[in-house]
Amino acid sequence: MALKEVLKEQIERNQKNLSMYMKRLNQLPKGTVHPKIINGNKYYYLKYRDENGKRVDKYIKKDELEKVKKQLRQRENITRMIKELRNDIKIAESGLKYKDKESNR
Amino acid sequence: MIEHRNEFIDTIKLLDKHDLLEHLILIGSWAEYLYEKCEVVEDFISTTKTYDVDFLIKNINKPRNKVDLIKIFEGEDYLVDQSRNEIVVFRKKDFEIEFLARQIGKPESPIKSPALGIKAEALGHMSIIDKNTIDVFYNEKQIKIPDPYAFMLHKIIINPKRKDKKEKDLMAINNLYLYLSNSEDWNEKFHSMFNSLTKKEKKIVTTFVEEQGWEV
Repeated sequence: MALKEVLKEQIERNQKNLSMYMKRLNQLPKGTVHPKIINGNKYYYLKYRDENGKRVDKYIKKDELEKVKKQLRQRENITRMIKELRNDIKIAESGLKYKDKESNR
Repeated sequence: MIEHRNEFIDTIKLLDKHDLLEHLILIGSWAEYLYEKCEVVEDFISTTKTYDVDFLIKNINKPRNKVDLIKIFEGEDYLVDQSRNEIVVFRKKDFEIEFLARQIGKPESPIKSPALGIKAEALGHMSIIDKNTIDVFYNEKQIKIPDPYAFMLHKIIINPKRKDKKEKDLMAINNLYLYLSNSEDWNEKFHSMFNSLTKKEKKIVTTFVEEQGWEV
């Protein structure tokens, strides 16, 4: 298989995975969990910025705290995977450009 | 990986010609490739980029009629590398084929397969793979591969000891998780396989699942 075809296929596969990861990422909450002491009681809030850049403090119900923490860890993992994939795509694209230049010479 | 597809197909054909495929389980990144190509996992796309082909020998004393694996691969212009503890690795340019066996005794000792005439690298925690295989057809050949849940759990179990391959494996595990957890029977299948693990293996998996924030 010619290198150019290999790179094209690699980019296509990575892009398919990327869109799947993005879909999963968008289903997960973002931000960080912060405790607040109010009247001697501990409450937990999810702090993040919304799409307009406005800071949001969202109350987390006690029985949902563990679930939210888990989802944030998952988000962190998927973000890392996305970064890795984007990097791979970038490398493959530069390889493809180089091959194009080479064949135009 | 994709550029070695032809070499991979040739390897499968060669092993099939000598009736060896039924005695081997294809593990590692090419098994992931087949999850994608044979549609074992819905919509799955593997992330692996490595070229090595790894086979797990199901039973070191089979086939009953002994074969000379070294002679077979030398006949196909493969170089035989036995420099690492006498473990046999077949190489052709940057394409590599290795045979592994279930670890018995000391972790560092290679395992001799009298039936294949080679020494194979020993790999631990292989019971889950050995007990949970599926047969797929690729290029008209029947190939044994691990059930994807078994594959994923095995990768999790050996992950703490993977050294330089740890990160690459982590990516493969999480990639498989994202696709498998989309299916309706994810929880049922995961737990059924998890319950078959040893106490020590369960502990490793539980810690991993917690760290990654998986929903199980």
